[in-house]
Amino acid sequence: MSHSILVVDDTRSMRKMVATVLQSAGYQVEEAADGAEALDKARGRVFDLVVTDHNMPRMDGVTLVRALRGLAEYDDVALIVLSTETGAELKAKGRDAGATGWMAKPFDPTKMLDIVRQFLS
Amino acid sequence: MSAVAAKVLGDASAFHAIFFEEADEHLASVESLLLRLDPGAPDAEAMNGIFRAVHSIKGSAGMLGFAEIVSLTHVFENLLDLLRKGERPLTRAEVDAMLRAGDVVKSQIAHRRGTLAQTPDRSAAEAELRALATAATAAPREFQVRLGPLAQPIADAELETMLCGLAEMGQVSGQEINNIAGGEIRFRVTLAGAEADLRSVLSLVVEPSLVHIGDAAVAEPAPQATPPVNDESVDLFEAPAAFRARRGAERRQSPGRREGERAANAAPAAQGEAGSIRVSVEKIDRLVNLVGELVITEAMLAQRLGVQTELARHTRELQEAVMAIRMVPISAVFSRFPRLVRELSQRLGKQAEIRLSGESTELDRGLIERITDPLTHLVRNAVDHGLEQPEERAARGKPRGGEIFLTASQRGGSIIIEVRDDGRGLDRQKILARAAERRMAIAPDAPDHEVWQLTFEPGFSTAETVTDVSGRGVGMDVVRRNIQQLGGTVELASSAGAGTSVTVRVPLTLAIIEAMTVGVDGETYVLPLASVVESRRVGAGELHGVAGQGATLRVRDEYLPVRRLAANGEIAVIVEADGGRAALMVDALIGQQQVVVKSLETNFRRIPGISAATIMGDGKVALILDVPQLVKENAAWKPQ
Repeated sequence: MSHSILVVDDTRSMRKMVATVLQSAGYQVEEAADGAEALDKARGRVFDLVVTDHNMPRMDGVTLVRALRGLAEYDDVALIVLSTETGAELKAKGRDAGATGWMAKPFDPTKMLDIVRQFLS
Repeated sequence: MSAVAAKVLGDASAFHAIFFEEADEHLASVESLLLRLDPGAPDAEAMNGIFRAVHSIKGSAGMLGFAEIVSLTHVFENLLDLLRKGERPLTRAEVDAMLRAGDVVKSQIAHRRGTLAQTPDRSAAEAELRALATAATAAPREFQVRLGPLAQPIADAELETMLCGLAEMGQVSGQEINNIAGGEIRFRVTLAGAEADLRSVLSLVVEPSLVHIGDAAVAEPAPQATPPVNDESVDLFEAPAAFRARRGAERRQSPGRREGERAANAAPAAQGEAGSIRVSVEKIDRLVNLVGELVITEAMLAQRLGVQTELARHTRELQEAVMAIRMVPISAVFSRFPRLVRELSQRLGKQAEIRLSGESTELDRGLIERITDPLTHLVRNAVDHGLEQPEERAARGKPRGGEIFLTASQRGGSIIIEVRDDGRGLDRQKILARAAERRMAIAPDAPDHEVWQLTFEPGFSTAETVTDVSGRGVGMDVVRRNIQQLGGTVELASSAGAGTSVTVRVPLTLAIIEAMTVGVDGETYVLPLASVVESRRVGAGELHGVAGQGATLRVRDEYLPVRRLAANGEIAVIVEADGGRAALMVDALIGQQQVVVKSLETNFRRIPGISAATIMGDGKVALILDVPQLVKENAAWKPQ
């Protein structure tokens, strides 16, 4: 069974690009437009991995990571933040919240697949 | 890029359409948020909204390799970041600069889209944004300082002096001192001065090339022009192998839980996606056409069977539902006016505020496009001719700033749009004088509404000076003609000193019209009901021949040109278009009904005197008469 990945980004074109990259490798992708929507979806089912933007309306990525780690089912799910923001301070916040990794935008599709594969294999 | 990457994103053009559309939406929202910002007390949520929109455009443009868009939005974003953090006060200058920058991004998008030939020049916009972002910031900033690697240790006394000196300039924190050969000294310093000042102080103790200063407040590095990124693009907080090992261990501990989750996973993502989907206009138009056919087929069936069925109701409801898909809120047009009014009033030295209401009123997409120009004209008129200069207003005891109200509402099958100003109002005497000049027939004591009607006459203008805003010559007559072409009407009301109001009424949709069907020599023709004034039976003696001009019919005080559609028709249908009237002679009035308009040009070819066609309940094609042309036509006209 193919792994399911939740892609969270408020920018539709960016979300589609991430989704397309992941789908091309055979992953099953679900999309959410902000942290709040993502949290809703994550409560309904457990995804095998989450890729989330940080800067979003309603709920940002780091807050989403923290909220997901609060759910027992997401204890051991890789949560990767994908953001144009790469400041050390924010990254540290993400790490403290429970993020598994931080990727910079613009991203290299090959590298993204590589990382995702490592966490899912 | 690897083969996979090239395969999945190499053809990024698939994402271009999404990006362009999304960028348009973002830019429109940036503009409307900027226009609503109160420079004195900017709304934090609005600032964040603007920031996010610009940030989104930058991110996607980066993925798609639109380097020039990344470059401009990056500078834009930097300024926004300072503003939203309150590190720079927001003034009119910033708002104006950002509006201009938004325009440049818009043309960059247009250029990438292929609708704008030349590459827009972004240098001026970038320079302006950059200047505002770096202009002496009132609030102190934090700098990250790194000195080294040191060739040799710095003498303790010297180091001490430097740190003390810095402590006088600002606040020093987070010191990490490794004062040995090859070591580094790091600290943060918060001060109000410029980076250059800091650099010169530090250069007193260490060689300038060893001084590294980063701005903690604007931490982001300059954008990469091309997407693929360096190796620092990924920062893993936990090694994948360790992660997998830990997860495996946990899973063994609680197998039951995992199974439950898998079951949950297998269940389809059931929750219906709220929100919306995007569909191309062509698809919708096709749907509209198909439903149109269905309506006709249903009518034919009903006529043949002679019974009313539920099918009729379902068909009508289906048609309404499909038409509703084409509806878009009028805010699509209204949203451009705040900016227009702002710029116009600035240019004219006036103060004006525009107040919008009923922006969520919906109308047919096709109408939205065609109503934009007339409305723009009316709003320009209101600012240019309606509102007085601030001094003049003050002298009359009015507030210096004028107001323009733009209101939309739906009434039955019509949309009513009102453009109202609180300006000087129409000048009755001036209009009458102008009418006399142009030898137009009007009684000096005619009621106001008749006098106002004169302003709709071609070439009629009382503006004393030609301005580059409203110009002269093209005026209300063009507005009225455009609106009438949509099957709508325009009315004017005014009171001296208190303002003018123009009310535009247009049908909800262009695809269906209320029609009157008439019989002409055994054929059925269709007239848009909006253009029909009245109809009456005419005796042969009532038609007056005027030499070389065809017949005329006297209706009250007016002699109307007669168009003989039917050779022996005795019924006159008086129609009106473009301010003119004519009497159409037909054999019979058949009835009134809604008809679905079918373009002749796309299905057949253009025929003079015919605007479109429709299919009647009996399955026969009926032609819709082009009333404006019939009214204009001098010679008697007969359908071929």
